Amino acid sequence: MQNKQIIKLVSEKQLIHDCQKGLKQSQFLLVKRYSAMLMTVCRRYARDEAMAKDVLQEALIRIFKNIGRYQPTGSFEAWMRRIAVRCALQWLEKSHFRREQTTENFDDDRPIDPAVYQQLATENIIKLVQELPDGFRTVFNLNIIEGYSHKEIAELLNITESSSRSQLLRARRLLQKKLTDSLKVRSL
Amino acid sequence: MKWHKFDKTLQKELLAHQSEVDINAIWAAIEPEVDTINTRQQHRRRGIIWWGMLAGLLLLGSTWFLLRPSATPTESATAPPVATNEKATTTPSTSESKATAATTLSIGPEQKSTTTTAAPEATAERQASTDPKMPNPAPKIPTAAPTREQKQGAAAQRSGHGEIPPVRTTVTPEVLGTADAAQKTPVMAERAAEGQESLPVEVAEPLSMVRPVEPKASEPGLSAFPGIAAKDLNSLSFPQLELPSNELRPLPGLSSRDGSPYSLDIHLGIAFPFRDLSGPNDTATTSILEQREQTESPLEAIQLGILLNRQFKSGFEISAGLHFTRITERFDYNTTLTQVDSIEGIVAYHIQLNGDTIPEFGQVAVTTETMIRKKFFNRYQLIDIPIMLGYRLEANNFTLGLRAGVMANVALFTRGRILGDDGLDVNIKNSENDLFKSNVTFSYYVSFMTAYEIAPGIQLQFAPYAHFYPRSFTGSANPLSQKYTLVGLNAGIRYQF
Repeated sequence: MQNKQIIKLVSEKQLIHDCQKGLKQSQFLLVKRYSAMLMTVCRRYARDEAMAKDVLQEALIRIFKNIGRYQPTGSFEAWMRRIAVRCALQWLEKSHFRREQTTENFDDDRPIDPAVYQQLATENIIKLVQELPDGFRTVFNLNIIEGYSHKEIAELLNITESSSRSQLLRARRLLQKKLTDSLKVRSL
Repeated sequence: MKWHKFDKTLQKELLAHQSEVDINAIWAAIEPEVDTINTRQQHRRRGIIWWGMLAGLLLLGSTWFLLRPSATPTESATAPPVATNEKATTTPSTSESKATAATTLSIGPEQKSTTTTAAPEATAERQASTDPKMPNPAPKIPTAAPTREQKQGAAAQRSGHGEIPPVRTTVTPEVLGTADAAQKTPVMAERAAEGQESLPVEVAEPLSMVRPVEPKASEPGLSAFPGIAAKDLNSLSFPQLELPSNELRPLPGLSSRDGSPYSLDIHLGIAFPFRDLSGPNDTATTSILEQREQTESPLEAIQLGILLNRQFKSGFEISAGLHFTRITERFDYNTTLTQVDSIEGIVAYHIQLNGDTIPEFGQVAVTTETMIRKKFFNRYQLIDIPIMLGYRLEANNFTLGLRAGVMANVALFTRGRILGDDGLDVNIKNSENDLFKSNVTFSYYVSFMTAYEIAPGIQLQFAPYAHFYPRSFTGSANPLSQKYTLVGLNAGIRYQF
């Protein structure tokens, strides 16, 4: 730049303010800064990568639409994450939410040592989560990762609390089985 | 509890994870939608401004409506009484205090050349009423059916006996032709009868009932009341009439034009500038046009003007004066810089067979992303000479008007910065380069005016207006055309000399 310019790093507060005013540069910066985090959320809920991308785009558009209503009382990341989660749920609902009942038997439901999972990259874990049936995956993500209670999940998904609990248990067992299988394959 | 550790580990792993995303692809996919959102938000903001202005106007209008003086009570039964002529009154004082009925007879200015005789019977009664030797009978009211009491009174009077109800008749000088011709000539006849029920009757003598009576040569000037002798008239004296000011108000359209035809307007206004930025349809120009549209946003325009008006009796007026306009825009110059620096650091670890780790030092690239934000307030200041033609309709203290005309531009001063062809911000001061003209030749102006007379000769004015600049502000060095239309509200004072 030819002129002396005031250079400053954009704070989150400034970024939100600029996005609320509709400054495109700042909107692009927001996409750049938070897309990776939001993509992880979307991938956990989506069935595949293509769906995750669609959900991410939808979530970003919704964030820009509603950023004017954002109140800086809570975390901005958490607010965006909630939008992404709701987008993903709606997307799943639109694309025929499947609440498959697995027929697999879980003979051993004792959890294995989590240290074992560290041998797996997080990417692999996400892929295994994606392989879970829609219902299991959703309840697992909402409860374990996002921290929603069973009551909240029941309201959100329009199911009973006991159904949420049972789906979570099944999701845990299935995921554990998949993780163990994956480790076995890697060790071979 | 057995799953607790499992859950925590997975939560920690997954929450901290950042997936790889093709930012450019995502942005390209959502950019059109983001543009739409931004445009909608801009429209909403503008909508809020305009609705606010409209609400302000409505509030002003409502205030104006509520605070305006009440209409002239020419026909109101509760109108303040007109001054009375004591000599023409023959009503006993005791019945005056108990007067409960009043009849008002209004005669318009067009009846000045005619007599007020409605019918021979009525004329006879009026003649009798002006005869000092006779008690005044109740006047005959041709348009209203006489009440039972009135009929009885009249019959008693005709027969020359019986109890004649005491009546007070008031004759104003206008009726007698001795006062200055006024537009309204009230004649008040009060009827008061002790112990007698009477209702107030309000009538206006219809023109169809009025027929001219030839004035008698021997008694010139008394055609209206042939029964009054000249000597009696000479003995009459009329006290100073004190009418409420609203009764003496001139007819609509005459109030301010009766004074000096010259007046001076001083007004200040605020407007929203609608900018029209356009250019040739080539890639380079389109690119810079889009960038300027994104980085610049019109904020507001203020106007300050002084106008000398010459008003004609027809309601038309011509005005000329001096006008100052300032259009303000904001230019947000934002760009993101990515700076890659090299610092000394560990570039690799070498693990030897015995398990020792040896770090390898070298130049490590450190990327710093910075955003440059500059905010400028660009100002386009114009000095114009307005030549306007207007038309005003006046009623009581209120004026409605329309004014339109041409403004000859004297000078345009520009100040600020815009985005240049090379993506850098450039100075737009028109005295330093040819990006903007120093004169935009002429513009058009139209306004709708409402005014209220707050004091004699002083009016408070509000005028929604539109100001069109058909010529581009840009100069030869600027490939784009930049025109404006201002829509806003002026508020000001008019002083009539």
